[in-house]
Amino acid sequence: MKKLIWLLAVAGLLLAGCAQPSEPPVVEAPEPPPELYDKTWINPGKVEVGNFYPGARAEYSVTIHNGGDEPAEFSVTYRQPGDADEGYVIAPSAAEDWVIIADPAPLLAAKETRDVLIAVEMPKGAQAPPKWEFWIAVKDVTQTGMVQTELACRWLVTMK
Amino acid sequence: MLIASFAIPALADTTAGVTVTATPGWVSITNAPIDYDFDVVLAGSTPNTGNGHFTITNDSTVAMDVSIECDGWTGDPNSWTYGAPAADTGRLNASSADGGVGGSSGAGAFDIAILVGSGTLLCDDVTVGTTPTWELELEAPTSFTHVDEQETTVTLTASVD
Repeated sequence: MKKLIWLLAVAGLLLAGCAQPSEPPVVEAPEPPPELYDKTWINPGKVEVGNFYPGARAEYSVTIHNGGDEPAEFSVTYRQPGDADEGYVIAPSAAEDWVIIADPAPLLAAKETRDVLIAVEMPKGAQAPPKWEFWIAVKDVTQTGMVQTELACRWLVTMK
Repeated sequence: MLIASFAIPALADTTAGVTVTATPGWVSITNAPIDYDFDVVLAGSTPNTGNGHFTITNDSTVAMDVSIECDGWTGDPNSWTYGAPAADTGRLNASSADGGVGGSSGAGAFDIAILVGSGTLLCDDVTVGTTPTWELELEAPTSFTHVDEQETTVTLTASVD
């Protein structure tokens, strides 16, 4: 009986080992600093899209962390920046329709971290400046008080 | 053995040839206190919170710009119009001792017009771990046709410098 168990265990390990080479490489993302565990944060703060053109699509996930002790609903929205980065201009007004937010109102449990996929899909025939910028704004809508905070991820797009 | 790990999101649906680059950076700010009551205001007056009333803490891992905006006035049942002082029309301004190069020019300057739905840069290049202070000013209406209490929500938006 013992021999059978050992045989099964060895066979299982061999199978797991054989399956590994077919897995795609996993790139480990850096971990947030531990002192941010109790803070609400987003990551990354800046996404740069290059070689973009009408008809193309680009996507990336914004990670949101609820540092509060209670569940919180967040709003994830497209924003036009008040001012664009050097060399860039504020996105054309039509760009709002090109941005897809997979979950615009995620509800996060206390201390939960979640990815929200953002995609930019520029229609064929649409026009844009050579370099333009928009923001994805993330706000905890359960905040109270007269002064509230919002966190923005800057998207910098360079056309082909 | 398969190792569970956080992975940079797959870009499978990004069109071939298009590049997407994200530099890791955690964006996080807090502000305190979260409230201020101007109490009863006189027509044509410009009461303020006092310099340095509010403090922002940049908990991010990168330097931040902080812009400011509001959502206009809400009164029950009558709301003011948001804008330059006029009858039943008033607005807010802000300033900061830590405005940096592109933000406010200094404490008590009240040189940053707070707009509805459009951010204005209040503090430029706020370095990691610093705590810039700021303050608010109300430009009250020149006259009132009602005395309903007014409220607004001011939003501070942090973005990577």
